[in-house]
Amino acid sequence: MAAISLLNPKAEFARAAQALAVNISAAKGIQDVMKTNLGPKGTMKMLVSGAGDIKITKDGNVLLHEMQIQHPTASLIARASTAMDDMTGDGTTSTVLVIGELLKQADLLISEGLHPRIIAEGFNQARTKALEVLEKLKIECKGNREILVDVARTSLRTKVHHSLADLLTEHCVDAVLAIQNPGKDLDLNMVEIMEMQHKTATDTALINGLVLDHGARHPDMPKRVTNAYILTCNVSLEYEKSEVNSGFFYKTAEEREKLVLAERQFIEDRVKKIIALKKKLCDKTDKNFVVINQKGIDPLSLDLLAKEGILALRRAKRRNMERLTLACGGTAMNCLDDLSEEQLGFSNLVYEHVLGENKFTFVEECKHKHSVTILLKGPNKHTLTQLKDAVRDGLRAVKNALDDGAVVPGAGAFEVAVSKELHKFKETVKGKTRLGVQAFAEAMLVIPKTLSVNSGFDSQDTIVKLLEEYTSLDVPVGLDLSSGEILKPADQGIYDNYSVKKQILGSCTVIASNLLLVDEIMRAGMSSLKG
Amino acid sequence: MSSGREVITLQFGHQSNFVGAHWWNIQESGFIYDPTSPPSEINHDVLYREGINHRNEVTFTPRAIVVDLHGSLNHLKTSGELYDDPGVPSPETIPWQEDKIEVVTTDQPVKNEFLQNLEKEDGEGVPENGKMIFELDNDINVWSDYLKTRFHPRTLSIVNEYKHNDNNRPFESYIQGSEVWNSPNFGEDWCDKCRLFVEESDNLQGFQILMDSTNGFSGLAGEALQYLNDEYNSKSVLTFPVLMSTSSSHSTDEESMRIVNLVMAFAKSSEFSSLVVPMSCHNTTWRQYGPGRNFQHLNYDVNFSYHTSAILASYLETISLYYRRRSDAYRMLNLCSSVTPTGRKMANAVLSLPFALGENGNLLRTLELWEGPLWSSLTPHCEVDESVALQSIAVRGIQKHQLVPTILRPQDQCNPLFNHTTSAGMLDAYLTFSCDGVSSQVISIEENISTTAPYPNIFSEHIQRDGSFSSNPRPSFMAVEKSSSIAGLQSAKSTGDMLSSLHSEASRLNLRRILKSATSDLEVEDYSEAKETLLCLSECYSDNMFI
Ligand SMILES: Nc1ncnc2c1ncn2[C@@H]1O[C@H](COP(=O)(O)OP(=O)(O)O)[C@@H](O)[C@H]1O
Ligand SMILES: [Mg+2]
Repeated sequence: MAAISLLNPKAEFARAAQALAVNISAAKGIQDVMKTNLGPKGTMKMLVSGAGDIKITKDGNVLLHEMQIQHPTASLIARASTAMDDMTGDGTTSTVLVIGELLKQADLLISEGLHPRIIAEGFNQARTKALEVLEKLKIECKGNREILVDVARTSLRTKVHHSLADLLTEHCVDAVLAIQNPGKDLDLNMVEIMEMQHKTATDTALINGLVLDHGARHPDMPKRVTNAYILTCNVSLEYEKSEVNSGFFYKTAEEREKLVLAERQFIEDRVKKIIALKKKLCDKTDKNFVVINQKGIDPLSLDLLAKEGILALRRAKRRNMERLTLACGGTAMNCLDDLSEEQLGFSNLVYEHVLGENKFTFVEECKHKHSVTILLKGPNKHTLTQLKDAVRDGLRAVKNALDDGAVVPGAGAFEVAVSKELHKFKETVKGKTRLGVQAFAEAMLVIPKTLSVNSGFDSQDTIVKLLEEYTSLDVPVGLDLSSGEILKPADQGIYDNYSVKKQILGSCTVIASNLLLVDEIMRAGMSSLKG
Repeated sequence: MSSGREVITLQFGHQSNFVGAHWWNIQESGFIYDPTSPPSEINHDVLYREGINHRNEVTFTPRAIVVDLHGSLNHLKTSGELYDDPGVPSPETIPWQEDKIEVVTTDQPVKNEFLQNLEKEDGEGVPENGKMIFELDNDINVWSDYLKTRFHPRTLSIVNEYKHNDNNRPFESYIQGSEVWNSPNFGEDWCDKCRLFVEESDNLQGFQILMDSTNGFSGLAGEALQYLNDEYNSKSVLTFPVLMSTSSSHSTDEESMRIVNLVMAFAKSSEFSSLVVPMSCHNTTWRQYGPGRNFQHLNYDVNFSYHTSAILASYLETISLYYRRRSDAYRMLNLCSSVTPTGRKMANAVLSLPFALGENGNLLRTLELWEGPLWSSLTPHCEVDESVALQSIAVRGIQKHQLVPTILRPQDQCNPLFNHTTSAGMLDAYLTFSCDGVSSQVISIEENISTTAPYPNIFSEHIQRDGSFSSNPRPSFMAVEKSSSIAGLQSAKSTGDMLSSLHSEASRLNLRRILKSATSDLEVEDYSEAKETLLCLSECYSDNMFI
């Protein structure tokens, strides 16, 4: 990317300048690159690599990954921000902006002679206070589907066009609610995300059941079955010469041949066990039988199964063993002895879909619904990638809200409140540390300011209005990005994740302080900076 | 069960990909498109898959996963060209507020003469390679600068956490690699690619692996090997750790880090592979890289990956015949077990390239007159010596009519080599007589290795266009188009010596110091365990008696 090359330190410059000045300029530089991305009116970027690879994104985390950041400080900030994304799935751009702003504010104070350590101390106190404000502002959302939809929609509309965002929002909420299992941690892995390169993004659908990225490998197997028992297993149905009979230890060809036959028989016996159960349960009924195996199934075994009308898939994803049993019931079997009906799952509809050289198998209308699939569709690879990133973030937003039990008003409302409360708090702080608290209070406003600029409004007007209204109404107020007026986020359903805001407060303070205390930290060894 | 015999190729790292790129090129230059000529002796379906793209065109691409760092591909598109719509969408088609779309374009890298020519040929649809001689030595920076092969969209797997050639944050340690593997995106994605290649195989033999062993890729490959061992434990795994010098000067700390990586790479690969064959053109590779191996008819620059990787690729193209000849059902498993008796998981590579007969020469006379060893070692710290116990040899490019001279001498009839109808048979007989007590197996095919561009011009001037030797120099406008070769795998005492020399090098390290300078810490225990593994392994080679 062009802009980021501005950050490359000229070697002489780096040597001459103070490490602190370098850090501050790097933080500002990366802030400049990222600020146009913030919020639903931010800039969408299309990155075209020299080879023609295309990436369309607005997501701070994705952009940070794509940029060739050479400057060590900038790459430190980038890594800290993306590490935060790994944890909560959101908030990267905000993190970069707030760090940049904290350092800008600190820069002013330092130029007036204030010691960085005092500023860092102020930041620290401000953070503690800000976390208190967060607790006060948070809105409980236990069992409230509407709020879940709101928080997911808020997040997704910052990533893809709002019509598509609204579609994905419903899918993400429904998917997470489906896999919820009382008393157990929410495992997003139980939502399969499958890509199909055809049609358009708005054909993306939620499938109640599983979509597998492979199909039967035998021409005579059925392409579509109804009322199907599902055997989920991890048992080799593939004859392989094992190490012992590789020819070294057997004197005669006959002796070897015998062994080969015996091993082949062994595999065939396994297949016959499946066939026997199928006959018992399905023959003379309208029921069918499907085998989904994590291990291999060789052509001879496929042939035997096909002759019985059994649909068999080999080399299923390891994770699909669990997903299948959550969706269809039954148990994933590691052994085929004593196979019985209770161990099988059930699905009303299993069918194959062929797309070029790719096959997909849909296992739908299942007995349980504790595992579902979001089936992404798009005309090309980059659309699918963009969708996938968005859906992952949407799912995370819903999960975060459920785990947190709360959400936070968005549209700058949280930051305005924190800023205002910190200004009050500042009065109680003794000595110069107060200046650090004040700097923190100012820095938080970078979020509403940037949202305002990105929507084409005057940021000073906005801030004045927001601060005034917050004081007079005494409820959180945010910015209406289409009118430039004030709104109450709760009325419009603009919510952010509680855990994301909490993370932002924490990591911005730590990173900004580390960058300020660079001299001391360098002496203590750079290693304490990592993570 | 004759179908299949598929082998999946897994490449880890830039150095390995240099080798891989040459190897795929060599194979494709050897494809026979003429339907009237007899089929190739090589069954290309072993390493390649047939597919069909969105435009309903039939594709033939490697069953391979190629891992490299962000920014290493130059003009190569991550998803390949075969399955993707070319061109850049116009910004208006992006569903977003129109004035809020920013297009950021990186300049297209300049394509070298060879790639430009390739594009032209593509346009006209004439596969007409080798007619021109290319001087590419100054144009090669990354392996895609000379890659002819087109990949399946599943093939390229890019590590985004680290950038190619990033001096601020180099991908330099085993532990970085294993962290990348365990990061949210990489490992799972890679395993899925792998699984899909396995799924479509009817009768998979196993995996052949090229791995960088001195940088962060060692850790990635180490983790991948462990995964393969878990998930596909009945399949063969043949691993080739690749060692190449990248820049001439290294700090002592960097050298130490390389030793740590090597120890980990060798230990993990021998634990989780059926057979491990370390490969390098340098004679020594631990701290400093030693001089290049001597090949009588090659002039190559041992510090230039484009050259050395061609030699390593020629080796692979020859030795891998064992599991991809059309005529038999020999499998990777058989090759691996043929040189790994009693726990000897590691073996040496040896190569003769070109194995040039004189003009109108023949194998019988050539062998009779041969002095010194037939081949050079490609395994560092292993010399070609008498300590060999077992060997598996593959020969390419000797035609039936080149076995014996047209004009015979009376005593030829009594020569024990005489009565053989294949080069394999004759060489086997020769080895039986010349190397006492070595148990050998030899196979051969008549097809040569194709060395048309972009194979580097490394042959000496006495090698002719057809790979034969002549005292008259080859005209300078002419390139060598094919070459015969002999490649071998040997289980020898020297393999054990190599391992113990690495072990003692590793024992000399001040581990604390290296770990402090490293960006992340390798578990000290893991490392000592790995050293122990090497020591135990080296002991398997101490005596040839029981083999
Ligand atoms: N409809 C909206 N109106 C105003 N602000 C919004 C709206 N939707 C999201 N935001 C704000 O945009 C910010 C998030 O922007 P985003 O581009 O996702 O950056 P980040 O990477 O920091 O998550 C939050 O502060 C959020 O409150
Ligand atoms: Mg966001």
